[in-house]
Amino acid sequence: MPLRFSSCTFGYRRKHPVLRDLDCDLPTGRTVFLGPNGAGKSTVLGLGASALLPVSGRVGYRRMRTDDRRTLREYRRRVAWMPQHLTTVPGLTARDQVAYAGWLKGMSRAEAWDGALDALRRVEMDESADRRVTELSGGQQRRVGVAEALVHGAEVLLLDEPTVGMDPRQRQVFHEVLGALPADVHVVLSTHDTADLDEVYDNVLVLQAGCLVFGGTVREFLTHAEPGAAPGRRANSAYHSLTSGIER
Amino acid sequence: MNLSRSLKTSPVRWLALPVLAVALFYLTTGMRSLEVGYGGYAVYGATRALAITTGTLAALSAWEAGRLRAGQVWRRTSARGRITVAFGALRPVLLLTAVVDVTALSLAAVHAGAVPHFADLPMILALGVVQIAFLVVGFGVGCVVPRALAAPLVLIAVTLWLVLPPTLETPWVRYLTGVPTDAPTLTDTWDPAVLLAPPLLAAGAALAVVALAVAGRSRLLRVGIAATVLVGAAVPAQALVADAGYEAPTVPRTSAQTCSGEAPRICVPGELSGSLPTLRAAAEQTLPALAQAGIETPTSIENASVDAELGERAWRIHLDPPVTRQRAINAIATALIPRAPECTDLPDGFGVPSSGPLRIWLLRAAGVSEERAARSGSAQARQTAAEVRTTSREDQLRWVRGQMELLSSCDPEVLTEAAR
Repeated sequence: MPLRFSSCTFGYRRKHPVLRDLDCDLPTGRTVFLGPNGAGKSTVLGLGASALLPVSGRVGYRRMRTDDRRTLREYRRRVAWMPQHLTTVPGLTARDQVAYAGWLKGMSRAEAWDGALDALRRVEMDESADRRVTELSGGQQRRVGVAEALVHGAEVLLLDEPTVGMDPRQRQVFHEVLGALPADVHVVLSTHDTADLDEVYDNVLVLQAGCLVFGGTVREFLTHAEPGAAPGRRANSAYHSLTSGIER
Repeated sequence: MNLSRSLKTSPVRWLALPVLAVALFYLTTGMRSLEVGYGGYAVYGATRALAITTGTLAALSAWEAGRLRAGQVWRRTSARGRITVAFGALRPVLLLTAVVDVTALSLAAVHAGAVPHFADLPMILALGVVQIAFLVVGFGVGCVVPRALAAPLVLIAVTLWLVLPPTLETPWVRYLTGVPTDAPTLTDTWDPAVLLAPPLLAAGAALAVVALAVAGRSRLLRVGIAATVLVGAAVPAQALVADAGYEAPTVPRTSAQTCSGEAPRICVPGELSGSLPTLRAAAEQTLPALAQAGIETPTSIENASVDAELGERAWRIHLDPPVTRQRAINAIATALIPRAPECTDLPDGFGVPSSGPLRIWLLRAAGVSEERAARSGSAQARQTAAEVRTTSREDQLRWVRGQMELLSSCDPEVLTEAAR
């Protein structure tokens, strides 16, 4: 069952909505979220994570809704979120940070502590588990952020530009982590990196100026590419053809 | 994180020893040695020491809140409630608070020579509530102000609040802080109404901070609820202490009395129960002699507060340790002398009549030697008492009754007549 947006309107300022009447179901499987800067991708992911509340409309997953206090905690246990701008609690090591994230998501302290090392191992950060997060590089910190999203075994992962600052090897590891996730764990991530689109992801969403201009499988997305586009550039071509005709 | 991991990442581990050292230093230098210890004095010493450390503990709380703020924890999609998250962050500070409190109270009990009686505990419970409230308020400040600023701000503000009010000319303010200004005695303890005011005010402030954090989604609603809670606590708290003067209001300490014997029954604070045989022996020597002089024997003799209501034909004595035979005799013999009344309507120019002649007469009637009795009054008082003792038994008793009425009177005519 997908994460559903029903007639969602949201704006950071009252008279300037970023999203207007958004109706969509985030697909199951591995979904990549594309769109230019300022299109509203982070906002959609934030709404899906319940970090933001729509001004009107609702966001729901299964029978839970982000505007329903009775189901909000369970919703948050099942939906993980990695924001675009990561922050760390001062003084914590990587393992402390991931364990704390797991505890915030409802894990017991013991489970979160053990789970943190496992999550760091999956993103190949276990050797840095005892290092302070502030001492790590930007790419390493994002891997810790991914581990925070993985630690509590969520059913839906919403990842906002998780591979920013990662080198190719780290991105490869990240893609392997995605591939190793169970089939019933659904991932939606935003990125500007369209390489290996068809090898890693099942679905594509394209957002432009707060409106969904495309939603479908990767194959359907690639049909929008220019006929003469080179094989490695078809995703870029499809993206440009979908977004270039829309005026903000 | 479990508690040990929390401690490893918290500044509490650096400050624990200094905080303990300050508390214990203040405690040991601020408490005097007592002949006989009593638990209320231990509580007094401990609470004064703990008041000094509360500012630091509140500042630590602000610092921990600041760490959460820096990590933007409140913006995360947490499945745990805000109060749970806050409590988790405060565990190291709460642990330090508990360690400091227990250590200070234990050392104070050793210093005072007595474990606090159950009836003495309300004062330390009141300060405990005040401490927790300041931790909450400090945490609230740390949630909105950068921790490098919040921690020193909270340290200074809380310490000033606890230390400054006794220096102000408005006396009732000092009773809102929770820091005792006077130690309780064996016979008098703190007024419960005054004990209630500080935790009431502090709890109101803490709940207001909690309301600002969790009471609904509307900011206006949260502010309204917080303001209502704070005012709802501050107004009754102030009302409880509004009439308090520079001396701390007290009530008789009756719960810890120990009594023995009959005819008369002798009651003392529990801490002085060892003095009962001495008092019994003194009564057996003194009362028959006074009876022979015409003074009616009491049904009970009580070492009790001047504010305690005693039964009919009960005599009140006030005897601090050490309770020697001679001191006991003196106290029992002079128990009938009334307490000087507070004559607030008396015009200026009226002097307080001296109880010296009556005191010396009673001591002599009780069989105390002339030499010992002479130490209790001036030369004039000795002369007066001596002259009275030369009169008939009936005249002496009439004089005694007259002296007791005079010493209890606020009537200007009576005082003027006596002065002639």
